Amino acid sequence: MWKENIKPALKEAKHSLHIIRQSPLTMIGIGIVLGFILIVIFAPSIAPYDPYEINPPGFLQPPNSQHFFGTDECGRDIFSRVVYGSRISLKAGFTITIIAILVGSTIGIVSAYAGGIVDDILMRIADIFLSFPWIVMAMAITAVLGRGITNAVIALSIVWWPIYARLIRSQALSIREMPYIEAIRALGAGKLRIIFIHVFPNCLAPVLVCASLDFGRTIMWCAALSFIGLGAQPPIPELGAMITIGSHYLRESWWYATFPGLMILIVVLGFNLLGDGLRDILDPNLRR
Amino acid sequence: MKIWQYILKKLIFLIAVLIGVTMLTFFLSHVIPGDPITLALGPMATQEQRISFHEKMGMDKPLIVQYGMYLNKILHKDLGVSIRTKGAVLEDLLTYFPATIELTIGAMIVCIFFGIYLGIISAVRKDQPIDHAGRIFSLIGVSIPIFWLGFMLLILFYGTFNILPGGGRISPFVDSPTPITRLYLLDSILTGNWVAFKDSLYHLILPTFTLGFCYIALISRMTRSSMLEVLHQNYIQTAKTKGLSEKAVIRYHALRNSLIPVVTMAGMLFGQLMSGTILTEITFSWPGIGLYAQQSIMYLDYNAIMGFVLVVAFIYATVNIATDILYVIIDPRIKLH
Amino acid sequence: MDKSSKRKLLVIKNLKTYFYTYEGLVEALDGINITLEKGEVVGLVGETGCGKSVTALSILRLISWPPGKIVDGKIYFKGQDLLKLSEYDMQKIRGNEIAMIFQEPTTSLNPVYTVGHQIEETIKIHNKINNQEARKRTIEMLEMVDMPDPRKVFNQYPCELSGGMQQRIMIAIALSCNPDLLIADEPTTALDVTIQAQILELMLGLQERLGTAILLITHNLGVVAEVCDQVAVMHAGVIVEKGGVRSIFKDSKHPYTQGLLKTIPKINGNQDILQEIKGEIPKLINPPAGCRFYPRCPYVMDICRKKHPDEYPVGSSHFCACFLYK
Repeated sequence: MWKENIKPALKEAKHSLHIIRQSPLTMIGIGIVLGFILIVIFAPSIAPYDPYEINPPGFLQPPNSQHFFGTDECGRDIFSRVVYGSRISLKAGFTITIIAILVGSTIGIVSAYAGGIVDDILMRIADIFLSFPWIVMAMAITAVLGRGITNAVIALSIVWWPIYARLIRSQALSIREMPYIEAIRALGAGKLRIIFIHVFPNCLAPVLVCASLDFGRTIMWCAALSFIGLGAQPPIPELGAMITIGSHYLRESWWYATFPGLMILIVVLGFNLLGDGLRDILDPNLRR
Repeated sequence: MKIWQYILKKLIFLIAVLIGVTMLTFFLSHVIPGDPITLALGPMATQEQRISFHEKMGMDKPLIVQYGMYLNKILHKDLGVSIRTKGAVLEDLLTYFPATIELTIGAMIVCIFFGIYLGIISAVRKDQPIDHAGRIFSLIGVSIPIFWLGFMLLILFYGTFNILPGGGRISPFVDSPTPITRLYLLDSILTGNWVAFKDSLYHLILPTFTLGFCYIALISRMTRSSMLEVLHQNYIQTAKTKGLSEKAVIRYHALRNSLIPVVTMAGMLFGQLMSGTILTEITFSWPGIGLYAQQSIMYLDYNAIMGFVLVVAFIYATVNIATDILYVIIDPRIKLH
Repeated sequence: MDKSSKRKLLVIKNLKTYFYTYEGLVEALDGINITLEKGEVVGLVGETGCGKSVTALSILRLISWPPGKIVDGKIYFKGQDLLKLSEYDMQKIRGNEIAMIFQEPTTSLNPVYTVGHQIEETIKIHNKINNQEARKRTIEMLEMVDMPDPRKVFNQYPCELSGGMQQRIMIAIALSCNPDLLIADEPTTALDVTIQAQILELMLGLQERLGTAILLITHNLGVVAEVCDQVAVMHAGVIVEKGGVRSIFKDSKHPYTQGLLKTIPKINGNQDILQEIKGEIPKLINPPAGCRFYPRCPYVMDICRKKHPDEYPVGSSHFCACFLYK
C-alpha cells in the first residue's frame, strides 16, 4: 500500500534527475561539492603531513613532489594545511548556515503568524541587518567578543538569520492563503498541525536553494573575517588566515597565498553551481 | 503628493536604521570586556582621575540616560577619541574617507557599466554561447574571494610584469595633488597636475577592477532577467511594428524599462560593495576607512570601531535615499500611483 | 506575376510558417492564400489558436527565430515579395506602408513614455522632419482619432488613459504615416462592448477617408458582418473558405463555416440548446494527414482522411477548401 503512495514521489524524483543530467554545470557543481565533502571526511588519510608539524629548515619551499603545495614559513606542508583548513571552513560554514536556518525560520514563521506589530518590528529588524554591509556588523561583534573562530561563527550567524526569516515569512504568508490550506482547515486540522505538517514543508524549496548557496558563501565570509584577523588565529590552518600570512610572502613565495584561495574559489563555485541547479529543479515554472 | 509620501516613508525607515545602529553600538560599547575606565585612561590613572571620569561619563546614571547622552554626543559630531591615533575619531574617519569614496565609486562604475552591458547581451542572445560565457564569468565573480583575487592580480601585474603598482594610493615619490575634494583623480585634473593624475590612476586600476569584478554578477544577473521579462512585453512588439531596428528597440524601449529594477539594485549594491571595499583596502593597503577600521580592531580601539560603524551607517542611509529619489524620477508610474 | 495581380495590394501565396519547439514541429500555417485589394476590408476569422495572429506577424516578418520560421510561400505587397527583402528594407515598410494594431492596448504601449512621444516616434522614424512638424502632425493624428483635448493627451502616459483611449492611440500610431495596409489583430476584443462599437466606427471612418486597406483579424462573426467586404475563414492553420461577406454569410459552403454560423445564437429564433462544433482544434504538432477538419466534420469522406483539399471555386470570388466541392 505504501508503495502506491511513493509512486508519484518517485516519478518526480526521476524527473528531477533528468533535469540535473541535462545541465552539465549542475553536474560539475555536485561533483565539486561531493569531492570536497570526501576530502573533509577523509582528511587524515589524504593529508600526508600533520598540519601543525613545523620543520624550520624546510621553510618556504616551492611546490615539489614531497610538498604538492609547497611549505610555509615554518616549514609546514601547505597541502595538508589546506586539507585540514577545508575541514574547519566546512564545519564553520555548516554551523552558521544551520543556526541561521533554525533561528531564522522560527522567527519567520512566528512573524508570519503573529502578524501586526510583532511582524512589523521583527521584519524591520531583519531589514536593518540585511541591508547593512555585513562585514561592518561582523567586525563590530567580533571586536567585542574577541577573536577566534567560534566568535566569528557567532557573529556571522547573527548577521545571517534575517535572510531565512524573510524567506520563510514570505513563503509562509503566500502558502497560508492557498486554497489547500483552507481546505485542510475546513477539515478540522489544528493550527500547529497546519503549520508544521503543511505550511512549513512547502516553504522548504527556496530554503534548500538558499542553503546550498549559503554553504559556499559562509565559507567565503568566514575566510574573509579570518583574513582581516578576526577569525581563526595562527597556528590554526584556516584558509583565510593562510592567505593573510601568505600575502607577506607574495613576491617570493607565490604558492603560499595561491592554493588556499584556489580551494575557496573551487568550493564556493561548486556550491553556487549546486544551488543554481537546485533552483532550476525546484522552480515549478522551470520544471516543464 | 504621492512622491513625498513615498520618500518620507523611506526616510523614516532609514532614520530607524540609523537609530537601530546607534543602539547596537551603544550596546556593544557596554559589553566590551575589561574595565572601560582603564581602557580609556590607561592603567596609570589615579583614583581621582578615575572618579572624575566616572562622573563625567555619567556611568552611574541609568542606561537610558546614558544612551541619551551617547546620542546627544553623536548629534554633536563627537564620536570619541581614538586610543591609537590620539585624535578625534570623526576627524580620523573624515581623513580616510575620500580614499574609500574614490575606490567605491570607481568600482561601482566598473561594476554597473560592465554588468549592465553583460546583462543586456546575455538577454538579447539568450542561450547562445555568449550568454553561457557571461553567466560563467559572473559566477566566477561571485565565487572568488575578493582578497585572493587582489593578491593574484598583484602577483601577476606587480610581481611578474611590474606594470602596475603594488598598493597604496600614490607613489611615495609623487606629491599628492592639492586637496580640494581630496579625491586624487579629481584634484589632479582640477589643478592640472598630470603627474599625480597618471600616478593615482595607475594605483586605482587594480583595486577598482578587483572590487568591481566580484560584484558584476549582481548587476548582470538582475539586468539579464529584467531585460528578458521586458523583451516579452507587448510594447516591444509594437515597437518592432513601427519599423525600428533591433538595436533601436533595445535602446529606446527595452533598456529604460529593464533598468528600473536595476536602479533599486544599485542601492543594495552599494551596501554589499562596502563590505568588499573594506577587504580590498586591506589587500591593497588602500588608506580608506576600511583599513583604519582593521587597524583599530587590531589595537582594540573601541571608540574608533564604533565610530566606524556609525559612519558607515550614515553613508549607507544617504546612498539609499539618493537611489530612491532616482527611482522615482525614472519610473513615472510611481508618481501616479 | 500576372497583370491582374498587379492591381492587388497584398497577395499571400502558399504561406507556411512552422515552429520548431521542444515538443515537436508545429505547422502553424500550412499554405495560406489571401488577397487584398486597395482600400478593401478583409476579415480573417477563426477560433483561438487557428493561426490568425501568426499570419499577421508573418506578413510583417516578425516571427521570432527561434522557434518560428517562414518556410515557404510568397507575400507580394505592391508587387514586391516581402520575404525576399532585407531586414533593413523591411523596417522601412513596417509602420510606414504596413501597420499593425494589437488586441491589448494597455500592454502594447510603453509605460514610461508619453503617448504623444510614442506617436511622434513613428513619424520621425519614417520621415525626415523636425520636431515641430512632427508634433504638429501628432496633434493632427490625435484629432483624427477623436481624442478629446489632444494637447493635454499628448503629454499623458498610457496608464492615465482608459482602454478605449489607449486603442485610439494605437490607431493613431498605426495610421500616422498613412500606410496602405492596416493589420488589426482583434482590436476590440479587450474592450467594453460600447467602446467596441466606437472603435470600429472610428476605424471604418478613417479607412474611408485615408483609403487604407484593413486586414481585420477577429473571432467575432458579428463584427465581420458589419465591417468587412471580404472574409477568409481559418481553421487549424488553413483557410477553409473565403469570399465576399454576403456569400459567406448567406451561402456558406464549408462544413466548418456552416458550423460557426450555427453557433451564433439567434435572438428571435426558438433555441433551447446552444449549437457547437464537435471536437477541438487539432494539435498542430505532427498534424494528421488529410484535411485538418475531418475529425470534426459531419460530412467526412474517405478521401478526407488521406489528402489535403485544394481551394475549389464555389461561386464568383468564393472559394472553399473541401472535397465536397471538387
